[in-house]
Amino acid sequence: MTDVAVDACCLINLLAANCVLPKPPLQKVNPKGSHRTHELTSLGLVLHVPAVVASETLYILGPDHNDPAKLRKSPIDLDPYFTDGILQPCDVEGEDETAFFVGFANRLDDGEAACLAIAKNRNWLLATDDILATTLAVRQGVVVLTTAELLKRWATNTKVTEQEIAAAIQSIQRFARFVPRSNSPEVAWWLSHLQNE
Amino acid sequence: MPSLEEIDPRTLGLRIAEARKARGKTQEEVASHLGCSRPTYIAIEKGERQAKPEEILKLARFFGLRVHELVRSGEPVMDLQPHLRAVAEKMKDADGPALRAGIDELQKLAEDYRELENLTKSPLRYNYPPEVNIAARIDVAQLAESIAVQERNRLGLGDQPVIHLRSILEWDVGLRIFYWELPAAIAGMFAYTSELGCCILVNRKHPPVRRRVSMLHEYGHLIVDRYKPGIDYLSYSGRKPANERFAESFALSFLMPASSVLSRFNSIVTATGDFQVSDLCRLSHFYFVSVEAMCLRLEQLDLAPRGTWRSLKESGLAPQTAATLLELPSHPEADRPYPDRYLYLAVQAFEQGEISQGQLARYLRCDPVSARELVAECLTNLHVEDDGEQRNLQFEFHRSLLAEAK
Repeated sequence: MTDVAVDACCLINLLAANCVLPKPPLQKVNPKGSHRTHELTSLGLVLHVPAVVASETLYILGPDHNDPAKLRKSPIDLDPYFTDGILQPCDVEGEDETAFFVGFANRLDDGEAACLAIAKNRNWLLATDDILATTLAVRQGVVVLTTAELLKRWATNTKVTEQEIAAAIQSIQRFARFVPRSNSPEVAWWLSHLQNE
Repeated sequence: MPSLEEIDPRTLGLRIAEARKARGKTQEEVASHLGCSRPTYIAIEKGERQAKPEEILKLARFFGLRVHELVRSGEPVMDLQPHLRAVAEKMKDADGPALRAGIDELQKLAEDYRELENLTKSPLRYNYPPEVNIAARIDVAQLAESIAVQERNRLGLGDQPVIHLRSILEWDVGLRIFYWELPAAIAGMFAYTSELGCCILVNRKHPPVRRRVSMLHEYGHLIVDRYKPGIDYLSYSGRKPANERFAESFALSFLMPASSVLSRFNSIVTATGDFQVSDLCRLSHFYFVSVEAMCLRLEQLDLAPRGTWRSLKESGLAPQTAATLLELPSHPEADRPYPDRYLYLAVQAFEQGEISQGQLARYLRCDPVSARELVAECLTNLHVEDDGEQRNLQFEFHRSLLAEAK
């Protein structure tokens, strides 16, 4: 299993895609255990979310039921995702990880610093789209996955159609207001799926 | 350990001490929470002993702060919060906790602003008016009127209404004007620091017309009380001191210059032979002030009988309803806690990779998705093609136009 620490901005994107993560409640595979560690077959990854990241993952945009042309903020509830094991809760633990966390918090916000500290200390990957976090991660030898790379994985693993990929990208743009930066390596792939629409 | 050595023990100590004092905790209490002796804790505050990572974590939780807030670089602004807090302590009627929370937020906003200016290498240019001493037996209202005219002339404003007041006071004077929720009876506060110049906090709960008066009132204090931080109530009981009377008159004179009001009043009366409540409402809309402020200004200039406002108020005049009936359009007024320049500097720093997405959301006092919307708003420009088709243009903030011209 490949473990990944996910920061709030990337997690918001995955939730906005509305198809990459399974939707809770899942059918119970193991009724005895309420918390199951779930490798997401769609991504081939285990997604870990530090407590501070969960507290930052507040809102996503959604259609306004009174006026579908408009969007309104809707609160994110991660509890069902944790209960069903789609996401794994985690926290900064131990002396080394705490030292990494405090050190990174000098440059990053707490959520990003916690993700990087955990990824660094446990040899996990880091899921982020943030330039500064990526720069620091690369310096620390931590491998970074972006939203676009996660989408590519999902598309490859689940063999979805081009239209489904385009729908996921559009959802992320519309409901999470995210577009990869113009100089990012995945921007061409991202835009090509929108142009095909 | 990565970046741990970048945390300066002295700066960290200053931030810890500031957080402790803001929460009214003793050194003994914090030391006990940390499980260390008071001398050891004092050494941490003084920067003589580097706090251990787990101690920093404990302290952040104890103070209800994010770890980043304690270990970020840049010393805290030293001469802002303590002075205003001392003023607040003397204000027995005010809602203490809410007022202290407002002072804390002013401190945070001011520090964030300084950090953004440092990151983007964009210092604010100060262009403050000279200080004025109020001599005994002088007519304070007349003095304020004359200084307001001087200030308008100095800033090239003539005697026309100033709609984008907050932006002008920042661009042309160098005032940092923030909005935050304060107790309802408080109009705003003002402090001058050697590092950040004049910082003003205006009560965000009040409507835009009132906020405009409040920011100019605090500007008036910059002129007569530069080094004396102050917190202002909406109204005072009893006779106001001269500096308060100056600030109050300065605000009204600046917003509604006598020459301009006189000329417009004259033209209305000459054309219609009357001056009605609808004219009063239109005039107040024209100067972007409340009907009350407009009416009191007319009274002050002897263009309306004394007591007119009181009589209108007693008769149940509803200015908002009147504005709706007259179909007066609302003025554009940004409601954000920080000025537009602050927003653009935050977006610039983010685009340059100087701050992270999480930090951007903190700087902009919102959630990550709202922060992204603000970035898109700043970077996107609606362009109308020659054939009339509209499309959005995306800009790169850090592209130098001067470099391209060479």
